[in-house]
Amino acid sequence: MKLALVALLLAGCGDENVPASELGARLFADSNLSTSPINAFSCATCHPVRVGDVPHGGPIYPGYNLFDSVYRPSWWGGYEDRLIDAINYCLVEFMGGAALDENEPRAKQLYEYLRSISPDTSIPALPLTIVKNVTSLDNLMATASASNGAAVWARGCKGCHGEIHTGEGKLGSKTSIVPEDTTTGKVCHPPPPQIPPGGTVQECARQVIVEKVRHGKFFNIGGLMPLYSAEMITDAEIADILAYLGL
Amino acid sequence: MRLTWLALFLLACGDNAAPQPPTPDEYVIDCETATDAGTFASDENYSAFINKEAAGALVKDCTKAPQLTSPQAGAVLDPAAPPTISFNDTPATCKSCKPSPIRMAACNLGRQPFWRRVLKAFVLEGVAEAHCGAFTGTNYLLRLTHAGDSAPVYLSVLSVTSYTPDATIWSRKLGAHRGQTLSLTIERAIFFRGDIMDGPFVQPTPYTFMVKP
Repeated sequence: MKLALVALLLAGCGDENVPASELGARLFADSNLSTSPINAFSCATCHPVRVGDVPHGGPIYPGYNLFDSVYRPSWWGGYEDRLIDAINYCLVEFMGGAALDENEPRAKQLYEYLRSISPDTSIPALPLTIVKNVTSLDNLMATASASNGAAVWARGCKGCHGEIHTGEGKLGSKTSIVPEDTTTGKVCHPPPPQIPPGGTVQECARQVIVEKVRHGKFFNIGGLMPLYSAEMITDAEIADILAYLGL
Repeated sequence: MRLTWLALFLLACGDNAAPQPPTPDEYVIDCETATDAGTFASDENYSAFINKEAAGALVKDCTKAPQLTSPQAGAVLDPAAPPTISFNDTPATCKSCKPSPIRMAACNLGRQPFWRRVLKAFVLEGVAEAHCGAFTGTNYLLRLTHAGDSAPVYLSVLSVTSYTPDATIWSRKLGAHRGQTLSLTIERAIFFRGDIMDGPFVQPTPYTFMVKP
């Protein structure tokens, strides 16, 4: 009896009979895909996987739906033309990990999973429009809605940042508390030279948050946040978030 | 008995979450207090060191790693009086080791992804900063460790090459290791806009010290 239990114990976690696509599905949702001990992201944090588009009013993700993603001719708005490079871009830049070698089992398992949910072999590439400047922000703020902003926050921000002001429920210790980490942090005390002369802390915080949303960690911003392109969130929705934050 | 086996079974299938890295004892100069906006140490820079280590990217290379100048290796460290710790960014000479082939690979900056090169090439400069800004320059990770302990005795992230540890922290940390031998490593990494672009580098052999009994 005991021997049978030991055998069960040893066999219970074996992956010999699990299809590669199933192992890939597990990796997709596992933050341990990254070698970083402080990473809190998995692929599923930023990418939905569902048949059809994410419904209007549904969750807002920084990344595209990865259903039918394998046979796209390119990824990242055309900047990556090999799937392994597109995956590694996320893995290195946002998840702080080492890049996967295309021949290692985990890369193959991820590929098999994505292939298993990619029935369309002639699907086109998807655009990725990086918003350089939110020039209409002042106009948008005039009509922004805090209640809409609360809904947008819940759909697109809360999953990582938790509750505003407290960060309750935020993903990982490194995720910032919004907007306090900006309004009380050094970056806006005093506002940097890029803020128009005489700019207030509130104006500074507003610009910081807009840039974080639109550019993520890039353009000399830092951190690990991915960017939200024009396809993922509108300027009006960002203005609503700012209204909800009291900025 | 059955419950024990069930518990064992469930434990055996755990997700093996990586242990969280220790928190540094000091940031010198802490980005929150830095008067020079361009030179600072930060928790984000520390995270970058940790991630590179975990990715197997730490390079033992005496030609690119900091060289301790003070205190002398083998000295006795007094918990009651933190020494001034000084080091050269890189050694003036290094006769004892050969350049590592890994180092050569690490230096191959031309292998950045195309996407990254495009983003870096943008003229656009952001004002948003996650905490204290995306750092460009050199940072150092200094660790005092005791053989067999999983956590370092003392850990600091530095943007300077000479400093004196905080006396209270030093006393508390080293006071628990009186009479023991500690090893010191200093990693060096070159950052560009928050990411480590070269390194981290560490001397192949740690410096050793005795803590005053």
